[in-house]
Amino acid sequence: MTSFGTLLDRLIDDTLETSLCHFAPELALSGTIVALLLLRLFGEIDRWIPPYVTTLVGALVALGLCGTQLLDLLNGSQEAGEFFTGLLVFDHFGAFVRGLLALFLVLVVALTVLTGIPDREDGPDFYSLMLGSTIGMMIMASANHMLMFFVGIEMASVPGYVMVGFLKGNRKSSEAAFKYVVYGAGAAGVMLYGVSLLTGLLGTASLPELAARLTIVLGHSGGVGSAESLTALLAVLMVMVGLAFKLSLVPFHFWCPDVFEGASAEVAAFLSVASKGAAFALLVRFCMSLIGTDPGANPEFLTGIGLGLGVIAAVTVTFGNLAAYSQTNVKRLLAYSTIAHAGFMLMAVSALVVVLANGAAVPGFDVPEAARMCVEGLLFYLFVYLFMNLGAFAVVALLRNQTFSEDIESFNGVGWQSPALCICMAVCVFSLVGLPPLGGFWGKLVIFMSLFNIGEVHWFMWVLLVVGGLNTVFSLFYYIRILKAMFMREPAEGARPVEVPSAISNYALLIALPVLLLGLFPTWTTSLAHGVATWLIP
Amino acid sequence: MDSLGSELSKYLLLAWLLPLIGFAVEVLGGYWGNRQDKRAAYLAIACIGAGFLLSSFTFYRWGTETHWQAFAGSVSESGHASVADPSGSDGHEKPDAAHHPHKAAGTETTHGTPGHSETAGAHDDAAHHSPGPSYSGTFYTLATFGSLTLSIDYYIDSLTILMFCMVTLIATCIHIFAVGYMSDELTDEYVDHSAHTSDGHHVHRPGRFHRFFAFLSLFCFSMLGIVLAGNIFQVFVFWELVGISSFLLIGFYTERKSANVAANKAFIVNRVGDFGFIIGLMILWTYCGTFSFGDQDLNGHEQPGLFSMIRGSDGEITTVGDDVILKTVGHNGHWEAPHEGESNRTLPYFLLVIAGLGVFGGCVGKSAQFPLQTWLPDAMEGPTPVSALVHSATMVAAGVYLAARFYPVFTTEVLLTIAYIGCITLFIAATIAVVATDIKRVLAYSTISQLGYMMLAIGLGGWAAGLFHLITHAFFKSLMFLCSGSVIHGCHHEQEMTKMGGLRHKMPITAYTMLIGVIAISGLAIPGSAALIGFPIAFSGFHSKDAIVATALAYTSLNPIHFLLFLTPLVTAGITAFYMFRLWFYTFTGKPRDEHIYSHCHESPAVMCMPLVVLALFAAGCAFGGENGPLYHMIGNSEPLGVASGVEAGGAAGVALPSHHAIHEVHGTAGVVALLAAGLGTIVAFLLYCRPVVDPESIKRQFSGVHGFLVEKWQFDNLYDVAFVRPSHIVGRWCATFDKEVLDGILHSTARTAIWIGTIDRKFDETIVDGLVNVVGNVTRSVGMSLTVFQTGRIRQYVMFIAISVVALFALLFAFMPKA
Amino acid sequence: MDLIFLSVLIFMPTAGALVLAVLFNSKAVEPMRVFTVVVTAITFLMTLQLWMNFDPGVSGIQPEANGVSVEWIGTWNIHYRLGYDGISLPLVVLTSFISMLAALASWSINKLHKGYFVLFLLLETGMLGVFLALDFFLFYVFWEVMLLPMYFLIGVWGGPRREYAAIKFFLYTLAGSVLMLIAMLMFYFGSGGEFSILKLSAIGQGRVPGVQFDEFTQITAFILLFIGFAIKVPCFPFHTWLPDAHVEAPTPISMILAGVLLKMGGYGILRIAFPICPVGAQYGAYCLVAIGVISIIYGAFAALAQTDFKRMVAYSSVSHMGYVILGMAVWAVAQDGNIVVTSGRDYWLMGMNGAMFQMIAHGISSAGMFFMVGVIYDRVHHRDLNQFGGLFALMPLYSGLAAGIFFAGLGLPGLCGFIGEVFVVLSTWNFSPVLAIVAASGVILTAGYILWTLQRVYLGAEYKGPHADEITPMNAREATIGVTLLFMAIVLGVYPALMFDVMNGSMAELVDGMDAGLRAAQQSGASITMTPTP
Repeated sequence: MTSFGTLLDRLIDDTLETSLCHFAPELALSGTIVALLLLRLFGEIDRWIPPYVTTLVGALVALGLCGTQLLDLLNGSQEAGEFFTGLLVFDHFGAFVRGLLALFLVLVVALTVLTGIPDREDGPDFYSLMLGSTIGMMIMASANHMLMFFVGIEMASVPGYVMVGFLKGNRKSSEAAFKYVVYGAGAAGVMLYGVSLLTGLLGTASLPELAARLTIVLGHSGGVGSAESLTALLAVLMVMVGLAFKLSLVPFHFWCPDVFEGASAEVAAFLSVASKGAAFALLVRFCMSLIGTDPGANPEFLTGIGLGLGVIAAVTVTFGNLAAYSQTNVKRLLAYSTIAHAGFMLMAVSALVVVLANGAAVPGFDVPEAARMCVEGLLFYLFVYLFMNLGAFAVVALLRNQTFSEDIESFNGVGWQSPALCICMAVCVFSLVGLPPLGGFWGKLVIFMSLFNIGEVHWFMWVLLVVGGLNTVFSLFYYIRILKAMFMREPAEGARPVEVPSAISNYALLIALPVLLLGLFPTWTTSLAHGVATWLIP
Repeated sequence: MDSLGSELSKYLLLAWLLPLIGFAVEVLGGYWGNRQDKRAAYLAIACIGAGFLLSSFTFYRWGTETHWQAFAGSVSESGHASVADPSGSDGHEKPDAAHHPHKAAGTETTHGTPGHSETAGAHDDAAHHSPGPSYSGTFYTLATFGSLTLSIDYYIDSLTILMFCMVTLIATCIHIFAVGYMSDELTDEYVDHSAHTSDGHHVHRPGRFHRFFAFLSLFCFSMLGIVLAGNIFQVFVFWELVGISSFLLIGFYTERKSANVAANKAFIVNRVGDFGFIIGLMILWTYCGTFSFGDQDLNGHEQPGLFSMIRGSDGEITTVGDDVILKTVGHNGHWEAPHEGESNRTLPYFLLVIAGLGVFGGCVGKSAQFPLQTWLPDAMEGPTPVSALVHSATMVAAGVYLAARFYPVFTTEVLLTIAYIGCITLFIAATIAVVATDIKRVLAYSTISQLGYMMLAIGLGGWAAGLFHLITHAFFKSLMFLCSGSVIHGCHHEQEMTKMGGLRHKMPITAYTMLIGVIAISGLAIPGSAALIGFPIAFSGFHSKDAIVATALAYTSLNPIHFLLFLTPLVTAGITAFYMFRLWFYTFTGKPRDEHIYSHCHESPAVMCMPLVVLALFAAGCAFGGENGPLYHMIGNSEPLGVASGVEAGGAAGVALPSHHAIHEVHGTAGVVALLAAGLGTIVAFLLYCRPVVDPESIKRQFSGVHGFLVEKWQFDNLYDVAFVRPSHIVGRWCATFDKEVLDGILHSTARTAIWIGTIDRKFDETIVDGLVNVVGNVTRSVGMSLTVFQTGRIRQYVMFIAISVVALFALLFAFMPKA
Repeated sequence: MDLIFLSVLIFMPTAGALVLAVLFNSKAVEPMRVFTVVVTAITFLMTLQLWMNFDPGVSGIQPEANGVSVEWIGTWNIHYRLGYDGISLPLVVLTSFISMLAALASWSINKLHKGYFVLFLLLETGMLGVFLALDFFLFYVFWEVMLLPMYFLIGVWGGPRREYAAIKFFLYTLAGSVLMLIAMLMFYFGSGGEFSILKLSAIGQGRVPGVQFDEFTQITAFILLFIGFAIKVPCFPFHTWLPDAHVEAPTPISMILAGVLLKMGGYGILRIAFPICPVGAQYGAYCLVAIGVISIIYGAFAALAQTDFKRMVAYSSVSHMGYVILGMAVWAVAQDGNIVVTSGRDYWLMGMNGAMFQMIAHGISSAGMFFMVGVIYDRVHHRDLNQFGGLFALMPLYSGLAAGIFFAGLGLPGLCGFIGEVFVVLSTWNFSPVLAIVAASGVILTAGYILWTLQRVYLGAEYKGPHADEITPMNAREATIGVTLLFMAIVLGVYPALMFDVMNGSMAELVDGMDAGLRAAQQSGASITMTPTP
């Protein structure tokens, strides 16, 4: 019999030797928060070292750690595995997403430096919140347990609420924040109920065990259609509501346009990219855990979920694109665009679930490869999305500082006054549409390829493909409005010519360059994503 | 002999290309040159004159090499050769088709069903009138697709040479005439009295002397191209080019709206005919795989040309069932149908008919035959030399030339159609000419009418008669046009005959050369002269018209049901004499009707009169000897196989064609009645207009309905305007509207729907969701406690939405989940 | 070495654009104009070099049998593969030729010069890339690349409704390219991961043992591809973007649009849709021919009704490009026992060649027509056909050149338009007599609208519109462009073998390959039935 002491020893050993090591990026960020808060106490230091420097250093350290981890994992010098007694998992997938988050953090912080959104007084608060939120997202990305699932989401969300309302004295901003809080709270409640339902039904909260338990429960209860299966279905659904809220999927998207409109563009960029990336990581993890190591165990149940996701994806894409037409505020427009893009990415998840659940039934179909392609597409999409969406929001933020407006009309004729910014915008917008040779094209292409391929497993994927294709065309309509304003309209009478400092132009080009490079030379990123996917789906 | 074709082709090539070079130089030179410079004209004359010399030399070479056998009356058999002459390397001499005389009268062969076979009539005639030699070859290849080749070829026989001589001679005369006629363009400030600006002034513009001659040169090049062409595709190419030259020349006075409209009309109406032409081309191309007239030597592999393919070497169309068997087996100009069991190329008989009709459609357009005759009178908007050259002597005759050239492809049904079209045309045009008062228009209608005669002759099987008339008509009609030009020039651009009269005192050369033309076209001769001295004393027109009427008579006696084909031309011969003499009397005799014009009128300068005299000589004497004369013999030398022997009744049309022998038998009768008709017409004209016995005005009043109908040109222009021109504009507008309203409408409404849905979405967001929240919020806020806003309205609302969504999604999933 | 040469050729304009963007002062308008012309001229000379090196005896791809390539995206088996044959080479030369003239015609651009010239040069790279790419993916990328500059060139420098026209152009083309993308995916998965056009063609034509696109794939992919390309051609009913785009685009861009961009549709069909999907091509042949014929007639009728000079020319493009579709598709088959075989291969070959020639001819004549419209528009600033007249007297050289160019459009023998049209029409009877007759009737309508236009614009007693005092004769630069185009129109019209010698070999290979592909598909069980042709 193992004594409690041994257990404790083991726990400490485990924590000190592996867990904390695996948790290093989060620790770095946490340390930065502490440093920020402490530095303020010593008022003078605060003057010499602005908070963003501290934040940038912390974020860069975290990025470096994530990168090292990912490299170690890929070349085998570190083993993947659970840590913190199985609450979190350390693997390629998680490392990739965390790296992405860290990278994004760096870029957003750099942006806030240029736009000066938190003033000197607020800096520590703002950056603490952002760092905290990022930690939550990282936890989401490596969650291995329903508990961490919930904790991660909340940890990511709560600082987000505050950041949205960070523009003091702005009624819209506080309204948006409030809306976000209420929505978040509602979603969290539903999700928590789902978590408890699922845990109760399956008798475990550990993600790797879900699938096996589910098989047992469904097997005992007479399969799909039984009360147990319905309960499980409801539970899964409710859990997913929490994610759907984060992903702003229809019909849980109502907060999104208002929040983005109310929040500053920087925060909106942060929310639209980072929290979406983390939520997708979590969604994939959750789905994979339902599928388990034995694909094809509960085909009907899983197909139902997969198709459900597909329908939501189709509706979300269409809704997002349609609703974006009539927007006059650029941020609102981009908010709907992020809704649409979430739909595109969700298609990959839907295809993933469907192919893993059903693929084995099609003779000669390479199920793992098809599934890997879904993940690869999703990850690549996220990677490009990071740059192109950030680029778009960044340009909005930078121009707002010049024109003091975020209406499309305020962009009239800007294109010829500050070409660098607007070329950046053009690159990002065309990438969002999905035109080659820009990165966004590859993201879409790989997802479309997956859909096309998996259409052999289930015809609905072809429907999704058609919906995706049509939406790609239609999306052009509203994206182009931004460019139209920038390049084809005359500036309003008496408008002050926009002159942007070269640092800002360089930043914009810096963001736009990866979008172009990812389009021209996607190999490096796709093979990285492919490697990650291969680990996820052996 | 084998090198003769190549040699002749080189002369004719040069004669053909010289005007093109002239055109290029004149256009470029004119742009940089001086407006008062006559060099363009001299160059053009030099080019076409050199062309005439070359043509004449070709004629001489051809004659000496063939020992002038063509003129020997009946062609001896040893002179025949059909030579395939590929470019560069001359083909080897081919044994003569006529060495196989037993094939020439092939009634014994297994030629299909009686319904569609045509059998030769008189065997002896067939041997007598075998065609003379023809030479064909390729200048260069446009494209080759597998077994299909399109190239620029030549096809030379006596007809080609004759046409070359005729065209270049007349063109030279007209070029020289034009130097005088167009001399008022030699200025930097030309005042066009027929064109007005919106403020009522005359248009002032720089003179365009050089441009006129450039266009004339272009026309000569194109026209000679038609004549020299060795395949029907090439004919089509130059067909279009003469069309555009005609367009440019008709619209020479670009400032005059009427000229522009007439030019457009000419080209577009011609295109209607060309539409048929293309259909004919498509059929022949698809089924025969060649366009070539003569047999061709392709990469050492001999291929039959169109005529050989369809007629073989016996002049017969061979049918099996409803298909025509193409004669592809053989060599050296001797082709026959494949034997039974061998793979053969066939062409459905009805398609051969359509092809023939299609190509004839092109001829209808170009030769202004019914129903496409309306453009030619309007084409008189062009300067008079143009009317003389393009719109009477050469281009419009090209239709007849093509119909003759393509004769072997025409079936009896097509020939009957041609005959009737010609017949209708000659009558309609003649009736309109009777009431026309514009001197050029009278001539224009007369041209149409005479072209109708030619078509009629070809349709009746009078192949040589039709071409005979073509040549004679070219001379006397160009003469008359030039005379009218001289009159117009003398009267300072007055064209209305009603303002002329008595001009023969002022311009005698013009008047009497014109009279020669009038007599020639009327077909007058001295009665009894033939009986007295062995040949009739008459001008060219008598002989050629006589030949046509004889053919018609022989035809009608074979096919009594088609008696109109004899009666109409006969009556029209009288009408022709009437309106031509009417014109002459009106213009040159009697008292001046407009003193002002008369007093300023003057005889034209020598440069204009000289051509008149030359042409008058030809108009009078070119048909010397009639059907025993050299001209007719030369034409007959090119006559297609089987024409001479005639055709027995058969085919869907059930008509027989007269043989030479049959025509010869009725020749005397025909000559008498034709002369009677012409004489009658002349006398009536004399009585009405020269020594007025009856006042023409009172006749006009009495028959005002008929007169109006004729003045309105049988209402064709109005009919076409209503039936075609306006509808196509309406359809055009429909198409444009369809684009704007329907196709774009679909796009726009899609866009609108998308935006509308987008707005709905947004409205739903803003109104329903937020609205409820705000309503509740505002109400509560008015109460005062802002905190309570948050606690009451919004939370309930939002959470409610989440809950509803979850339930709805679950219900959906539940509904679609497969049941165990 | 060849790879480098071709790459330099394609990216020469891009390099020029970069130099222009970085080194030139945006106020230095004249140097930028000259520089652009020089860059396009160098590119043109390089394409002429290709023409010189071309061996007409080789029917396949040159410079090497499978094109020159380097791996681009290994994961997806995508190669940067370039090459040319008798189908693409004439179009490459046409592209650089028209681009050069369009650059020379760009003096009329009067604002934001730098951006204009940069985009102009980028556009040329996209166009050259499309014609030289032999990897479907690369083709697709270039196809889209050319879209973006075009959008801005119309949208920024265009006429009053430029935004509408630009978005319409963009939207249509994008819709087409999405369809193309789906077809590309079908091929990719159907072939086991292949993007090479040549290999896909080999598979489609049954020349690769073990792999074959089945009937369903071929037909579906063909329909998708055809719609994608038909939008670009454009044929009825996908053509309504064209009049708007043309009317609003500035003159040089109209020249490129009509002269080159429309050809991409036809080229795409010849390079991708036909060789990869012979079964689909045969399946759709009748429909294609009908679409071609409808476009001819419909375009002509619509042109007749226009009052805007440029719109008239735009609709004439619809009509003329109808011949291209028509000529390609006249693939007649006949039942021989249980299998169908090509009947009248030479006629089809003729139609194909005619279609190809028509593309080149239209490239020259329509670019010329748009240029001619531009010349007068620059002077009088309107395009209302009813408010011209009398230009022959005021601008004799211009009017003469314009008449020549318009006659080329009318299909006058001796000028380039004739050969393409008449060859196509002659080959049509073998496929369908009824459609052939309808197509042939186009000659009347064409003559109608072109002559009527000439009459209203150039003939007549006096000029009726505004700005009469600004009508000046053509300057030397404009005359150079006009003379060059007319000269080419005459050369091609008189000596078409210049083009046919280059294209015929590749066309014959394509025709025979598709014929073989049809038979291979039948042997592997495709149930091809003859489409009834009235």
